[in-house]
Amino acid sequence: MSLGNKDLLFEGRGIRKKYVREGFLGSRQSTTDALRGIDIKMRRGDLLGVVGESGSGKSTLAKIICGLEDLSSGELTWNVKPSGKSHPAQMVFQNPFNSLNPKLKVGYTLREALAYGGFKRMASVRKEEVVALLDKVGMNKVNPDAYPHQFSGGQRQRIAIARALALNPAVLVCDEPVSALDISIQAQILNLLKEINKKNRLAIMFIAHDIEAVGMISKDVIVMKEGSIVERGDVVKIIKSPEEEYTKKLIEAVPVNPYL
Amino acid sequence: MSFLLTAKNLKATYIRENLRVKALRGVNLNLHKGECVGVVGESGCGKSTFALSLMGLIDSSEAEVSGRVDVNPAGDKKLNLLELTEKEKNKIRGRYISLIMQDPYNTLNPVMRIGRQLREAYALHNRKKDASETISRLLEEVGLGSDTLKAFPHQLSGGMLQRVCLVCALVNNPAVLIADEPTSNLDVTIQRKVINNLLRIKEKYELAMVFITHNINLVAGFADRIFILYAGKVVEEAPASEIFKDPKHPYTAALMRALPDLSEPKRKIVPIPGSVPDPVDVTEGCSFYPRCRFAREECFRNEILLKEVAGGHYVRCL
Repeated sequence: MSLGNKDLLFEGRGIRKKYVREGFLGSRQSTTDALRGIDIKMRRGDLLGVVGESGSGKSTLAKIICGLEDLSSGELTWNVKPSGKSHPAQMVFQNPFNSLNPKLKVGYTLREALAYGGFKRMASVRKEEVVALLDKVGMNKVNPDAYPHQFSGGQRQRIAIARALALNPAVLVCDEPVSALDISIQAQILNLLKEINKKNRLAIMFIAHDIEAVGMISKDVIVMKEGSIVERGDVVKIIKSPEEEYTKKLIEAVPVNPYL
Repeated sequence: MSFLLTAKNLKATYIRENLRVKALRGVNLNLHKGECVGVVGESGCGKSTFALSLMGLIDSSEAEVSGRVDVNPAGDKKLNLLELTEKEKNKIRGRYISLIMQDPYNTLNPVMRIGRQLREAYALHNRKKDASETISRLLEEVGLGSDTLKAFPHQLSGGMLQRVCLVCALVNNPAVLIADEPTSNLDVTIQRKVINNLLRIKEKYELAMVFITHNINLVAGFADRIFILYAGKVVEEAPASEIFKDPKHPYTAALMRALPDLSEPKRKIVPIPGSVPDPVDVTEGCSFYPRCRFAREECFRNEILLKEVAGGHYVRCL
Protein backbone atom coordinates (compact mmCIF):
# COMPACT_ATOMS: atom_id res chain seq x y z
CA MET A 1 0.00 0.00 0.00
CA SER A 2 1.68 3.16 -1.18
CA LEU A 3 -0.37 5.64 0.81
CA GLY A 4 0.14 3.62 3.96
CA ASN A 5 3.87 3.60 3.45
CA LYS A 6 4.07 7.29 2.78
CA ASP A 7 2.22 8.02 5.97
CA LEU A 8 4.09 5.46 8.02
CA LEU A 9 6.11 7.17 10.74
CA PHE A 10 7.80 4.33 12.49
CA GLU A 11 7.63 0.63 12.80
CA GLY A 12 8.92 -1.51 15.61
CA ARG A 13 9.32 -5.26 15.41
CA GLY A 14 9.93 -7.59 18.30
CA ILE A 15 10.98 -4.85 20.67
CA ARG A 16 12.39 -6.31 23.85
CA LYS A 17 13.75 -4.59 26.88
CA LYS A 18 15.53 -6.25 29.74
CA TYR A 19 16.55 -4.34 32.83
CA VAL A 20 19.43 -5.81 34.78
CA ARG A 21 19.62 -4.84 38.39
CA GLU A 22 22.81 -5.44 40.26
CA GLY A 23 22.59 -6.51 43.84
CA PHE A 24 24.52 -4.95 46.70
CA LEU A 25 28.22 -4.70 45.80
CA GLY A 26 27.45 -6.51 42.59
CA SER A 27 26.66 -9.64 44.56
CA ARG A 28 23.47 -10.83 43.00
CA GLN A 29 21.72 -9.92 39.80
CA SER A 30 18.09 -9.84 38.90
CA THR A 31 16.63 -9.17 35.49
CA THR A 32 13.24 -7.78 34.63
CA ASP A 33 11.72 -8.33 31.23
CA ALA A 34 9.96 -5.03 30.79
CA LEU A 35 9.03 -5.64 27.15
CA ARG A 36 8.77 -9.07 25.60
CA GLY A 37 8.48 -8.61 21.88
CA ILE A 38 6.31 -5.67 20.87
CA ASP A 39 5.23 -5.03 17.28
CA ILE A 40 4.00 -1.52 16.82
CA LYS A 41 3.64 1.03 14.07
CA MET A 42 2.14 4.44 13.75
CA ARG A 43 1.03 6.52 10.80
CA ARG A 44 0.51 10.22 10.39
CA GLY A 45 -2.66 11.39 12.12
CA ASP A 46 -2.95 8.28 14.28
CA LEU A 47 -4.24 8.60 17.81
CA LEU A 48 -3.15 5.42 19.46
CA GLY A 49 -4.13 4.56 23.03
CA VAL A 50 -2.02 2.27 25.19
CA VAL A 51 -3.56 0.82 28.35
CA GLY A 52 -2.35 -1.55 31.01
CA GLU A 53 -1.71 -1.79 34.73
CA SER A 54 1.40 -0.40 36.41
CA GLY A 55 4.33 -2.59 35.47
CA SER A 56 2.89 -3.66 32.14
CA GLY A 57 5.68 -1.87 30.27
CA LYS A 58 3.74 1.13 28.95
CA SER A 59 6.27 3.71 30.09
CA THR A 60 9.22 1.62 28.92
CA LEU A 61 7.68 1.44 25.47
CA ALA A 62 7.16 5.20 25.51
CA LYS A 63 10.77 5.81 26.49
CA ILE A 64 12.06 3.51 23.77
CA ILE A 65 9.98 5.23 21.11
CA CYS A 66 11.27 8.61 22.29
CA GLY A 67 14.83 7.38 22.23
CA LEU A 68 15.26 7.87 25.95
CA GLU A 69 16.04 4.21 26.45
CA ASP A 70 17.81 1.67 24.25
CA LEU A 71 16.13 -1.54 23.29
CA SER A 72 17.69 -4.86 24.20
CA SER A 73 16.69 -6.61 20.99
CA GLY A 74 14.33 -6.14 18.07
CA GLU A 75 14.27 -3.11 15.83
CA LEU A 76 12.66 0.28 15.60
CA THR A 77 12.86 2.01 12.25
CA TRP A 78 11.80 5.57 11.55
CA ASN A 79 10.40 6.65 8.25
CA VAL A 80 10.88 10.33 9.03
CA LYS A 81 13.60 12.63 7.75
CA PRO A 82 15.44 13.97 10.76
CA SER A 83 14.67 17.64 11.28
CA GLY A 84 17.29 19.36 13.38
CA LYS A 85 18.91 17.50 16.20
CA SER A 86 15.75 16.62 18.08
CA HIS A 87 14.20 13.20 18.15
CA PRO A 88 11.09 12.69 15.98
CA ALA A 89 9.12 11.53 19.03
CA GLN A 90 8.68 13.89 21.94
CA MET A 91 7.32 13.10 25.34
CA VAL A 92 4.77 14.70 27.67
CA PHE A 93 5.15 13.34 31.17
CA GLN A 94 2.60 12.47 33.79
CA ASN A 95 3.33 15.13 36.31
CA PRO A 96 3.73 18.71 35.08
CA PHE A 97 4.75 19.70 38.61
CA ASN A 98 7.96 17.73 38.16
CA SER A 99 8.59 17.97 34.44
CA LEU A 100 9.01 21.76 34.26
CA ASN A 101 12.04 23.40 35.79
CA PRO A 102 10.67 25.47 38.70
CA LYS A 103 13.50 27.99 38.51
CA LEU A 104 13.02 28.93 34.87
CA LYS A 105 10.44 31.31 33.51
CA VAL A 106 7.99 29.52 31.29
CA GLY A 107 9.01 31.72 28.37
CA TYR A 108 12.64 30.68 28.87
CA THR A 109 11.75 26.99 28.93
CA LEU A 110 9.85 27.37 25.68
CA ARG A 111 12.51 29.53 24.01
CA GLU A 112 15.09 26.93 24.87
CA ALA A 113 12.98 24.25 23.19
CA LEU A 114 12.28 26.45 20.16
CA ALA A 115 15.97 27.20 19.75
CA TYR A 116 16.88 23.55 20.00
CA GLY A 117 14.21 22.50 17.53
CA GLY A 118 14.96 25.32 15.10
CA PHE A 119 18.75 25.05 15.12
CA LYS A 120 19.30 28.58 16.31
CA ARG A 121 20.63 30.48 19.25
CA MET A 122 18.20 31.27 22.03
CA ALA A 123 18.65 35.00 21.57
CA SER A 124 17.33 34.78 18.03
CA VAL A 125 14.03 33.18 19.06
CA ARG A 126 11.47 35.91 18.66
CA LYS A 127 8.88 36.66 21.30
CA GLU A 128 6.11 36.07 18.76
CA GLU A 129 7.24 32.49 18.31
CA VAL A 130 6.75 31.84 22.02
CA VAL A 131 3.33 33.47 21.93
CA ALA A 132 2.35 31.46 18.85
CA LEU A 133 3.47 28.30 20.59
CA LEU A 134 1.44 29.08 23.69
CA ASP A 135 -1.48 29.85 21.42
CA LYS A 136 -1.31 26.33 20.00
CA VAL A 137 -2.11 24.95 23.44
CA GLY A 138 -4.88 27.45 24.17
CA MET A 139 -2.82 29.74 26.40
CA ASN A 140 -2.75 32.92 24.33
CA LYS A 141 -3.25 35.34 27.18
CA VAL A 142 -0.65 34.18 29.66
CA ASN A 143 2.48 35.97 30.70
CA PRO A 144 5.58 34.11 29.46
CA ASP A 145 7.60 35.77 32.22
CA ALA A 146 5.80 33.82 34.93
CA TYR A 147 7.26 30.82 36.72
CA PRO A 148 5.70 27.34 36.66
CA HIS A 149 4.40 27.62 40.24
CA GLN A 150 2.23 30.54 39.18
CA PHE A 151 0.21 28.28 36.91
CA SER A 152 -2.42 25.69 37.74
CA GLY A 153 -1.86 21.99 37.07
CA GLY A 154 -3.81 22.10 33.83
CA GLN A 155 -1.92 25.13 32.55
CA ARG A 156 1.39 23.52 33.46
CA GLN A 157 0.48 20.43 31.48
CA ARG A 158 -0.37 22.68 28.53
CA ILE A 159 3.07 24.28 28.83
CA ALA A 160 4.67 20.83 28.88
CA ILE A 161 2.73 19.98 25.71
CA ALA A 162 3.83 23.27 24.12
CA ARG A 163 7.45 22.48 24.94
CA ALA A 164 7.12 19.12 23.20
CA LEU A 165 5.45 20.75 20.18
CA ALA A 166 8.29 23.29 19.92
CA LEU A 167 10.54 20.52 18.62
CA ASN A 168 8.23 19.74 15.68
CA PRO A 169 7.82 16.09 16.57
CA ALA A 170 6.36 13.51 14.23
CA VAL A 171 4.86 11.71 17.20
CA LEU A 172 3.76 13.14 20.52
CA VAL A 173 4.04 10.51 23.23
CA CYS A 174 1.90 11.34 26.25
CA ASP A 175 2.64 9.16 29.25
CA GLU A 176 -0.39 9.36 31.55
CA PRO A 177 -0.78 13.08 30.86
CA VAL A 178 -3.96 13.47 32.87
CA SER A 179 -3.53 11.09 35.82
CA ALA A 180 -2.14 13.84 38.06
CA LEU A 181 -4.83 16.34 37.12
CA ASP A 182 -8.26 17.16 38.41
CA ILE A 183 -11.33 15.80 36.66
CA SER A 184 -12.42 19.10 35.14
CA ILE A 185 -8.88 19.80 33.92
CA GLN A 186 -8.51 16.28 32.54
CA ALA A 187 -11.31 16.98 30.13
CA GLN A 188 -9.57 20.16 28.94
CA ILE A 189 -6.30 18.37 28.26
CA LEU A 190 -8.00 15.43 26.54
CA ASN A 191 -9.89 17.81 24.27
CA LEU A 192 -6.71 19.76 23.56
CA LEU A 193 -4.81 16.63 22.51
CA LYS A 194 -7.68 15.61 20.28
CA GLU A 195 -7.69 19.03 18.67
CA ILE A 196 -3.91 19.04 18.09
CA ASN A 197 -4.20 15.61 16.53
CA LYS A 198 -6.96 16.72 14.19
CA LYS A 199 -5.54 20.08 13.19
CA ASN A 200 -2.02 19.11 12.24
CA ARG A 201 -2.51 15.40 11.69
CA LEU A 202 0.08 14.99 14.39
CA ALA A 203 0.34 11.40 15.54
CA ILE A 204 -0.28 11.02 19.27
CA MET A 205 0.41 8.02 21.45
CA PHE A 206 -1.71 8.29 24.56
CA ILE A 207 -0.78 6.12 27.52
CA ALA A 208 -3.13 5.62 30.44
CA HIS A 209 -4.02 3.08 33.06
CA ASP A 210 -7.72 3.58 32.70
CA ILE A 211 -9.37 2.53 29.50
CA GLU A 212 -12.06 5.16 30.01
CA ALA A 213 -9.87 8.10 29.04
CA VAL A 214 -8.34 6.12 26.21
CA GLY A 215 -11.81 5.30 24.92
CA MET A 216 -12.70 8.94 24.91
CA ILE A 217 -9.65 10.16 23.05
CA SER A 218 -8.21 7.50 20.76
CA LYS A 219 -9.37 5.45 17.83
CA ASP A 220 -7.17 2.41 18.17
CA VAL A 221 -5.93 0.89 21.35
CA ILE A 222 -3.21 -1.49 22.47
CA VAL A 223 -3.74 -3.43 25.68
CA MET A 224 -0.49 -4.31 27.42
CA LYS A 225 0.16 -6.91 30.06
CA GLU A 226 3.51 -7.88 31.53
CA GLY A 227 5.47 -6.52 28.60
CA SER A 228 3.35 -8.00 25.83
CA ILE A 229 0.46 -6.76 23.76
CA VAL A 230 -2.54 -8.93 24.57
CA GLU A 231 -5.18 -7.21 22.48
CA ARG A 232 -5.32 -4.47 19.89
CA GLY A 233 -7.91 -2.89 17.66
CA ASP A 234 -10.69 -0.35 17.50
CA VAL A 235 -11.23 1.10 20.96
CA VAL A 236 -15.02 1.17 20.86
CA LYS A 237 -15.14 -2.42 19.74
CA ILE A 238 -12.76 -3.52 22.45
CA ILE A 239 -14.69 -1.72 25.17
CA LYS A 240 -17.96 -3.20 23.94
CA SER A 241 -16.71 -6.75 23.46
CA PRO A 242 -13.25 -7.43 24.87
CA GLU A 243 -11.80 -10.81 24.02
CA GLU A 244 -9.07 -11.15 26.61
CA GLU A 245 -9.80 -11.80 30.29
CA TYR A 246 -7.27 -9.13 31.15
CA THR A 247 -9.01 -6.47 29.05
CA LYS A 248 -12.30 -7.41 30.69
CA LYS A 249 -10.67 -6.91 34.08
CA LEU A 250 -9.45 -3.46 33.07
CA ILE A 251 -12.91 -2.48 31.88
CA GLU A 252 -14.66 -3.83 34.97
CA ALA A 253 -12.31 -1.88 37.23
CA VAL A 254 -13.56 1.45 35.92
CA PRO A 255 -15.92 2.94 38.48
CA VAL A 256 -19.41 2.90 37.01
CA ASN A 257 -22.08 5.20 38.24
CA PRO A 258 -25.12 2.97 38.84
CA TYR A 259 -27.50 5.90 38.61
CA LEU A 260 -26.60 6.98 35.11
CA MET B 1 -31.87 10.77 66.07
CA SER B 2 -28.39 10.29 67.35
CA PHE B 3 -25.38 10.89 65.17
CA LEU B 4 -21.91 9.47 65.46
CA LEU B 5 -20.32 12.59 64.13
CA THR B 6 -21.73 16.06 63.57
CA ALA B 7 -20.03 19.09 62.18
CA LYS B 8 -21.72 22.44 62.61
CA ASN B 9 -20.75 25.54 60.69
CA LEU B 10 -17.20 24.24 60.38
CA LYS B 11 -14.82 26.92 59.14
CA ALA B 12 -11.09 26.86 58.61
CA THR B 13 -8.98 29.85 57.65
CA TYR B 14 -5.26 29.45 57.08
CA ILE B 15 -3.13 32.43 57.90
CA ARG B 16 -0.39 32.87 55.33
CA GLU B 17 1.70 35.92 56.12
CA ASN B 18 -0.98 38.59 56.00
CA LEU B 19 -3.39 36.68 53.76
CA ARG B 20 -6.43 34.85 55.02
CA VAL B 21 -6.99 31.67 53.04
CA LYS B 22 -10.61 30.70 53.58
CA ALA B 23 -10.38 27.00 52.88
CA LEU B 24 -13.57 25.94 54.60
CA ARG B 25 -16.48 28.35 54.96
CA GLY B 26 -19.18 26.71 57.04
CA VAL B 27 -19.88 23.05 56.42
CA ASN B 28 -22.52 21.01 58.23
CA LEU B 29 -22.49 17.23 58.39
CA ASN B 30 -24.45 14.58 60.24
CA LEU B 31 -23.21 11.04 60.11
CA HIS B 32 -25.24 8.03 61.23
CA LYS B 33 -24.01 4.61 62.19
CA GLY B 34 -23.07 2.58 59.12
CA GLU B 35 -23.69 5.47 56.76
CA CYS B 36 -21.36 6.49 53.97
CA VAL B 37 -21.17 10.10 52.92
CA GLY B 38 -19.30 10.94 49.72
CA VAL B 39 -17.66 14.36 49.51
CA VAL B 40 -16.86 15.41 45.95
CA GLY B 41 -15.04 18.45 44.62
CA GLU B 42 -12.03 19.66 42.65
CA SER B 43 -8.59 20.34 44.12
CA GLY B 44 -8.62 23.49 46.17
CA CYS B 45 -12.24 23.17 47.22
CA GLY B 46 -11.37 22.39 50.82
CA LYS B 47 -11.80 18.62 50.76
CA SER B 48 -8.62 17.76 52.61
CA THR B 49 -9.03 20.64 55.04
CA PHE B 50 -12.47 19.22 55.79
CA ALA B 51 -10.98 15.79 56.55
CA LEU B 52 -8.27 17.26 58.76
CA SER B 53 -10.67 19.49 60.68
CA LEU B 54 -13.01 16.57 61.34
CA MET B 55 -10.05 14.84 62.99
CA GLY B 56 -9.05 17.98 64.88
CA LEU B 57 -5.70 17.78 63.16
CA ILE B 58 -5.29 21.40 62.13
CA ASP B 59 -2.94 23.18 64.48
CA SER B 60 -4.12 26.51 65.83
CA SER B 61 -0.86 28.13 64.79
CA GLU B 62 -1.60 27.25 61.20
CA ALA B 63 -5.26 28.06 60.86
CA GLU B 64 -8.27 29.35 62.70
CA VAL B 65 -10.83 26.59 62.97
CA SER B 66 -14.27 27.53 64.23
CA GLY B 67 -17.61 25.80 64.54
CA ARG B 68 -18.17 22.45 66.19
CA VAL B 69 -17.22 18.85 65.54
CA ASP B 70 -19.30 16.79 67.93
CA VAL B 71 -18.33 13.27 68.74
CA ASN B 72 -19.89 10.87 71.17
CA PRO B 73 -17.21 8.37 72.18
CA ALA B 74 -18.68 7.28 75.50
CA GLY B 75 -22.22 7.11 74.19
CA ASP B 76 -23.63 9.44 76.81
CA LYS B 77 -22.47 12.97 76.11
CA LYS B 78 -21.38 15.01 73.17
CA LEU B 79 -17.88 16.40 73.07
CA ASN B 80 -16.71 19.18 70.79
CA LEU B 81 -13.49 17.80 69.38
CA LEU B 82 -12.22 21.26 68.54
CA GLU B 83 -12.27 22.39 72.16
CA LEU B 84 -10.42 19.43 73.61
CA THR B 85 -6.78 19.40 74.57
CA GLU B 86 -4.33 17.45 72.44
CA LYS B 87 -4.23 14.70 75.06
CA GLU B 88 -8.00 14.34 75.10
CA LYS B 89 -8.12 14.37 71.29
CA ASN B 90 -5.61 11.54 71.17
CA LYS B 91 -7.97 9.38 73.21
CA ILE B 92 -10.62 9.83 70.52
CA ARG B 93 -8.49 9.74 67.39
CA GLY B 94 -7.84 6.22 66.18
CA ARG B 95 -10.21 4.72 68.73
CA TYR B 96 -13.42 6.48 67.73
CA ILE B 97 -12.59 8.31 64.52
CA SER B 98 -9.84 7.34 62.16
CA LEU B 99 -8.28 8.68 58.98
CA ILE B 100 -6.86 7.13 55.85
CA MET B 101 -4.94 9.47 53.59
CA GLN B 102 -4.21 9.81 49.92
CA ASP B 103 -0.57 8.91 49.68
CA PRO B 104 0.41 5.68 51.42
CA TYR B 105 4.08 6.29 50.62
CA ASN B 106 4.13 9.32 52.90
CA THR B 107 1.83 7.92 55.56
CA LEU B 108 4.01 5.04 56.69
CA ASN B 109 7.42 5.29 58.26
CA PRO B 110 9.95 4.15 55.66
CA VAL B 111 12.50 2.81 58.15
CA MET B 112 10.18 0.77 60.33
CA ARG B 113 8.79 -2.66 59.52
CA ILE B 114 5.02 -2.78 58.88
CA GLY B 115 4.41 -5.07 61.86
CA ARG B 116 5.99 -2.68 64.32
CA GLN B 117 4.03 0.26 62.93
CA LEU B 118 0.74 -1.58 63.22
CA ARG B 119 1.53 -2.79 66.76
CA GLU B 120 2.45 0.75 67.72
CA ALA B 121 -0.91 2.04 66.44
CA TYR B 122 -2.70 -0.72 68.34
CA ALA B 123 -0.82 -0.03 71.56
CA LEU B 124 -2.05 3.56 71.64
CA HIS B 125 -5.43 2.38 72.84
CA ASN B 126 -4.98 -1.26 73.84
CA ARG B 127 -2.67 -3.65 75.60
CA LYS B 128 0.27 -4.32 73.34
CA LYS B 129 0.34 -8.05 73.90
CA ASP B 130 -3.08 -8.57 72.29
CA ALA B 131 -1.97 -6.81 69.12
CA SER B 132 -0.98 -9.81 67.00
CA GLU B 133 -4.42 -11.35 66.91
CA THR B 134 -6.27 -8.22 65.79
CA ILE B 135 -3.60 -7.28 63.29
CA SER B 136 -3.41 -10.66 61.60
CA ARG B 137 -7.21 -10.88 61.44
CA LEU B 138 -7.44 -7.47 59.76
CA LEU B 139 -4.57 -8.22 57.40
CA GLU B 140 -6.35 -11.35 56.31
CA GLU B 141 -9.54 -9.39 55.71
CA VAL B 142 -7.78 -7.03 53.33
CA GLY B 143 -6.14 -9.96 51.56
CA LEU B 144 -2.59 -9.56 52.82
CA GLY B 145 -0.49 -12.38 54.23
CA SER B 146 1.27 -12.32 57.59
CA ASP B 147 4.63 -12.01 55.82
CA THR B 148 3.66 -8.37 55.19
CA LEU B 149 4.45 -7.70 58.84
CA LYS B 150 8.14 -8.29 58.27
CA ALA B 151 8.34 -6.05 55.21
CA PHE B 152 9.46 -2.46 55.00
CA PRO B 153 7.13 -0.06 53.16
CA HIS B 154 9.37 0.18 50.08
CA GLN B 155 9.04 -3.55 49.54
CA LEU B 156 5.29 -3.32 49.00
CA SER B 157 3.30 -1.96 46.09
CA GLY B 158 1.05 1.11 46.35
CA GLY B 159 -2.11 -0.96 46.59
CA MET B 160 -0.65 -3.14 49.34
CA LEU B 161 0.57 -0.10 51.25
CA GLN B 162 -2.84 1.51 51.07
CA ARG B 163 -4.35 -1.70 52.47
CA VAL B 164 -1.78 -1.60 55.27
CA CYS B 165 -2.90 1.97 55.98
CA LEU B 166 -6.47 0.72 56.07
CA VAL B 167 -5.50 -1.91 58.65
CA CYS B 168 -3.64 0.76 60.58
CA ALA B 169 -6.73 2.96 60.65
CA LEU B 170 -8.90 0.08 61.83
CA VAL B 171 -6.77 -1.65 64.49
CA ASN B 172 -8.53 0.16 67.28
CA ASN B 173 -11.97 -0.63 65.93
CA PRO B 174 -13.18 2.93 65.29
CA ALA B 175 -16.80 3.85 64.66
CA VAL B 176 -16.04 6.47 62.04
CA LEU B 177 -13.57 6.29 59.17
CA ILE B 178 -12.58 9.32 57.15
CA ALA B 179 -11.05 8.41 53.80
CA ASP B 180 -9.35 11.29 52.02
CA GLU B 181 -8.90 10.29 48.37
CA PRO B 182 -7.61 6.85 49.41
CA THR B 183 -7.37 5.53 45.86
CA SER B 184 -6.45 8.55 43.75
CA ASN B 185 -2.81 7.53 43.48
CA LEU B 186 -3.57 3.97 42.46
CA ASP B 187 -4.15 2.19 39.17
CA VAL B 188 -7.78 1.50 38.26
CA THR B 189 -7.53 -2.24 38.87
CA ILE B 190 -5.81 -1.73 42.24
CA GLN B 191 -8.32 0.98 43.06
CA ARG B 192 -11.12 -1.52 42.56
CA LYS B 193 -9.43 -4.02 44.92
CA VAL B 194 -8.85 -1.46 47.67
CA ILE B 195 -12.41 -0.13 47.38
CA ASN B 196 -13.83 -3.65 47.57
CA ASN B 197 -11.80 -4.36 50.72
CA LEU B 198 -12.87 -1.09 52.24
CA LEU B 199 -16.55 -1.72 51.54
CA ARG B 200 -16.48 -5.27 52.87
CA ILE B 201 -14.91 -4.06 56.11
CA LYS B 202 -17.32 -1.16 56.35
CA GLU B 203 -20.29 -3.57 56.14
CA LYS B 204 -18.80 -6.04 58.59
CA TYR B 205 -17.97 -3.52 61.32
CA GLU B 206 -20.86 -1.16 60.53
CA LEU B 207 -18.43 1.68 60.04
CA ALA B 208 -19.68 5.14 59.30
CA MET B 209 -17.57 6.63 56.57
CA VAL B 210 -16.80 9.99 55.02
CA PHE B 211 -15.31 9.26 51.61
CA ILE B 212 -13.60 12.18 49.94
CA THR B 213 -12.83 12.06 46.22
CA HIS B 214 -12.76 14.05 43.02
CA ASN B 215 -14.31 11.25 41.01
CA ILE B 216 -18.07 11.50 41.33
CA ASN B 217 -18.64 8.17 39.58
CA LEU B 218 -16.47 6.36 42.08
CA VAL B 219 -18.53 7.28 45.16
CA ALA B 220 -21.80 6.90 43.29
CA GLY B 221 -21.38 3.15 43.59
CA PHE B 222 -21.49 3.03 47.37
CA ALA B 223 -22.26 6.36 49.06
CA ASP B 224 -25.64 6.88 50.70
CA ARG B 225 -25.48 10.64 50.49
CA ILE B 226 -23.30 12.88 48.37
CA PHE B 227 -21.99 16.32 49.25
CA ILE B 228 -20.64 18.55 46.50
CA LEU B 229 -18.04 20.90 47.92
CA TYR B 230 -17.07 24.06 46.10
CA ALA B 231 -14.82 26.84 47.41
CA GLY B 232 -15.23 25.66 50.98
CA LYS B 233 -19.01 25.38 50.95
CA VAL B 234 -21.44 22.58 50.28
CA VAL B 235 -23.27 23.56 47.09
CA GLU B 236 -25.43 20.48 46.84
CA GLU B 237 -26.31 17.67 49.19
CA ALA B 238 -28.58 14.79 48.26
CA PRO B 239 -29.08 11.04 48.47
CA ALA B 240 -26.88 9.39 45.82
CA SER B 241 -29.92 8.08 43.98
CA GLU B 242 -31.31 11.62 43.67
CA ILE B 243 -28.31 13.69 42.76
CA PHE B 244 -27.48 11.92 39.49
CA LYS B 245 -31.02 11.76 38.23
CA ASP B 246 -31.60 15.39 38.87
CA PRO B 247 -28.51 17.47 39.65
CA LYS B 248 -29.80 20.86 40.77
CA HIS B 249 -26.56 22.80 41.00
CA PRO B 250 -24.82 23.75 37.72
CA TYR B 251 -21.49 22.69 39.25
CA THR B 252 -22.75 19.16 39.93
CA ALA B 253 -24.01 18.89 36.39
CA ALA B 254 -20.72 20.23 35.04
CA LEU B 255 -18.72 17.70 37.08
CA MET B 256 -20.79 14.91 35.61
CA ARG B 257 -20.32 16.11 32.03
CA ALA B 258 -16.56 16.37 32.52
CA LEU B 259 -16.15 12.64 33.08
CA PRO B 260 -15.69 10.18 30.25
CA ASP B 261 -18.31 7.49 30.15
CA LEU B 262 -17.46 3.92 29.29
CA SER B 263 -20.88 3.06 27.91
CA GLU B 264 -20.61 5.91 25.43
CA PRO B 265 -16.91 6.18 24.64
CA LYS B 266 -17.35 8.70 21.88
CA ARG B 267 -19.56 11.11 23.80
CA LYS B 268 -17.91 14.50 23.97
CA ILE B 269 -16.69 15.41 27.42
CA VAL B 270 -17.16 18.99 28.43
CA PRO B 271 -14.49 20.62 30.54
CA ILE B 272 -15.51 23.15 33.17
CA PRO B 273 -14.21 26.52 32.02
CA GLY B 274 -12.04 28.57 34.37
CA SER B 275 -10.73 27.31 37.65
CA VAL B 276 -11.58 27.13 41.34
CA PRO B 277 -11.59 30.61 42.91
CA ASP B 278 -8.64 31.70 44.96
CA PRO B 279 -9.66 31.04 48.58
CA VAL B 280 -8.03 34.33 49.57
CA ASP B 281 -10.62 36.49 47.92
CA VAL B 282 -13.83 34.50 47.83
CA THR B 283 -16.93 36.57 48.37
CA GLU B 284 -20.18 35.72 50.06
CA GLY B 285 -22.18 35.36 46.84
CA CYS B 286 -22.09 32.27 44.68
CA SER B 287 -18.47 31.26 44.11
CA PHE B 288 -19.28 29.29 40.99
CA TYR B 289 -20.66 32.45 39.39
CA PRO B 290 -17.73 33.11 36.98
CA ARG B 291 -17.85 29.58 35.58
CA CYS B 292 -21.61 29.16 35.48
CA ARG B 293 -23.71 29.06 32.32
CA PHE B 294 -26.77 30.37 34.11
CA ALA B 295 -25.12 33.17 36.06
CA ARG B 296 -27.27 36.23 36.69
CA GLU B 297 -26.58 39.47 38.44
CA GLU B 298 -28.34 38.39 41.64
CA CYS B 299 -26.00 35.43 41.99
CA PHE B 300 -23.09 37.25 43.54
CA ARG B 301 -24.89 39.99 45.40
CA ASN B 302 -25.80 38.20 48.61
CA GLU B 303 -24.94 34.99 50.31
CA ILE B 304 -26.99 32.16 48.89
CA LEU B 305 -28.41 29.79 51.46
CA LEU B 306 -28.67 26.06 51.21
CA LYS B 307 -32.35 25.34 50.57
CA GLU B 308 -34.24 22.07 50.48
CA VAL B 309 -35.70 21.33 47.06
CA ALA B 310 -36.92 17.80 47.73
CA GLY B 311 -36.75 15.36 50.65
CA GLY B 312 -33.14 15.44 51.81
CA HIS B 313 -31.99 17.22 48.66
CA TYR B 314 -30.36 20.58 49.38
CA VAL B 315 -28.90 23.03 46.92
CA ARG B 316 -27.12 26.38 47.19
CA CYS B 317 -28.41 28.07 44.04
CA LEU B 318 -31.06 30.59 43.14
